[in-house]
Amino acid sequence: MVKLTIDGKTVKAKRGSTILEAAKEAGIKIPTLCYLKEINEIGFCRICIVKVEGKQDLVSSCNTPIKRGMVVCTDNEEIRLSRKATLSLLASSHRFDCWRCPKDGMCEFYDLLKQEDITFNEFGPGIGRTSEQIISEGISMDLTKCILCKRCVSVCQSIASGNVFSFNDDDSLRPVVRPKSNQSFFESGCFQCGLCIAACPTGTLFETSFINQVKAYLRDDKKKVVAQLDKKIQSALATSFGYLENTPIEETIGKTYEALRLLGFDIVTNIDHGTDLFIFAVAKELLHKQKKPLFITSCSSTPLYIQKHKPEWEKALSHVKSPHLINGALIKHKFLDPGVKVVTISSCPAQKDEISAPNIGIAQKDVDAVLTVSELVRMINQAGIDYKKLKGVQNHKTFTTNSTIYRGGILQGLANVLMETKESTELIFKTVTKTKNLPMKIEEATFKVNRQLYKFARVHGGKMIKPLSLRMKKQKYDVIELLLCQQEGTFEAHEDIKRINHITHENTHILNNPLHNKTIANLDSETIDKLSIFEQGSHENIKEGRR
Amino acid sequence: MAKEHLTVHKLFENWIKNATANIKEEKIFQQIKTYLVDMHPDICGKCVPCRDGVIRLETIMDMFMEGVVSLSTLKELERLIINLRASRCSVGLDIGKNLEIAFQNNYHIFYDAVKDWRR
Repeated sequence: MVKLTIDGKTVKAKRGSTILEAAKEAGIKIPTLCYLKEINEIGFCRICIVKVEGKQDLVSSCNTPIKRGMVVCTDNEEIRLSRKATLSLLASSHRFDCWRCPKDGMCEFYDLLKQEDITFNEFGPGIGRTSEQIISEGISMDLTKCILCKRCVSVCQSIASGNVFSFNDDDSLRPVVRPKSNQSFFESGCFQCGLCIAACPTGTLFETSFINQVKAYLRDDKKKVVAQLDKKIQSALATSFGYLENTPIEETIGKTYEALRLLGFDIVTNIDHGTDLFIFAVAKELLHKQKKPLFITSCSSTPLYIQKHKPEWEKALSHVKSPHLINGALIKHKFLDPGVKVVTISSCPAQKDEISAPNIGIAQKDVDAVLTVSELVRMINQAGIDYKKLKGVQNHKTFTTNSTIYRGGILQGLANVLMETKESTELIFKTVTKTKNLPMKIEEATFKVNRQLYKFARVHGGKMIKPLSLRMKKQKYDVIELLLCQQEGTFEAHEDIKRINHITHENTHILNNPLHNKTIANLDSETIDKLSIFEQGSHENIKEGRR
Repeated sequence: MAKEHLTVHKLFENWIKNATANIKEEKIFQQIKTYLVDMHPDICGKCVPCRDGVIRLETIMDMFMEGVVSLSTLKELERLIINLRASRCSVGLDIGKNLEIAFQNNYHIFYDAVKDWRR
């Protein structure tokens, strides 16, 4: 332990920690902007500056290690003036159209400007460093709002292992952060996990909006529009309207269904049928697969990752569609006219990309649009609906399953199906590899059914792909579940973003046992295959179609 | 200190003095701007006070040359120069210190420009 003085207070902190960490431990808050613990400690923004006794100039606290006997001042006139001047400089190059910004009240930069009471004197407010906009199906980038904090670059590199962004400082006075080599998101290897959106302190990176498209569907009286809700987002949605995080889903989900009805959706349901069919189809694929392992995922960004970064695994990747696509196909091709429009409400920008990719579905798209939590909140607010005052309605009974809810993830669901019972033995996962400070890990579990031993692995975070490759040389897995958009607790984003990520990426998927789902039991095997499996070779076709 | 060293030291001192003395009032804004432009290749573009500050300082020098400066411009200039103390590396810190000296020693020139505006 090292003893030092911060703001006149004697503090003991771990050797090797930074001034910022030591101050935090002592309960002293130093404002930060570009800082992300363990990921982006680069001192670019100069907001976390402090005065160290004996040093002529101000130092950044996020990357200055503590020393014994150090005397630090975190708040005086010089520091305050410098912080204000730096924020004014950043603000004078940032485009302020906050009323239509996708961050919609969750902007760290805005909060900081407010906290430090920034006023414009000679320069500002700005119109942006460059007017460029990079649009992709899932993630888009508005460079007029970029403050060059480099958070997206670091997060993509150290957590997602995507290396999509680069900090281009060819013109050192006008650097630019964008997908590397002036490429599009797709060309640069982006798999749309959305970590960069969560890390961005401004509205530079955002989910491509489907609001206008959905509003057009809703305005068209001739079209029947179905909303299918991923129940994982319900808590996040409820907390956006002031409910506590631990409020039971059952208390608020009826309000969401009612809000969707009031917005003009003709049928409101959830994607549980799709999730059940997904598990069922994966189990079937596993039983018929000769060569193991089988890579499975319900995360829409994982197939994109494999296509771009691990093409050698493409043949082992499950051909089962993601649950919301299966549910969309079920609604369109089994229950209703194929002409209806299906809108998924979820939390994932990769699903936006997934539905936009060519060759998904046979004759037409299974799902027509994807709205994320923030987009739905915005639509509800724009329509003047008072969410809290809603009484709540039931979902559409024909399209919605109401069977027992299981928790524990896809692999647990798979085990339930293989056991062919309502409740199976709970899988016990053992962590075999993990990162030192970030919650990325590889877990393993074994499972025996009819004398057949199955070995499962579950991978959290893109950084674990390399250790998994090494482990696969020694271990023979039957099924590997990949969860690459690991967001929970990976970095300290805006409080609201952190909360939404935490809730929507909980590793407890809500699953039903498909064997006890009457709708699925009534479907014949051929129909299940048609609805839930991609056409052979479609992964390759998707890749080609995007080029 | 050897005799040669003393000579070099003396020459350097005289050069500094002459350089300071040689800043002509009417050219000070142009000279500062030229100095800032000359520093561009050394700036890495990573930290805000230096990367964005230098561009703003150049704009302010242009405003001084055009004679369109107010008291708030002068305050902004002072703020930006002092803020260079928060730079990440010695390039920004050195620019800040040099400008601080030039600003303090020639404050009357900057202030006169403010007084002259709209006269």
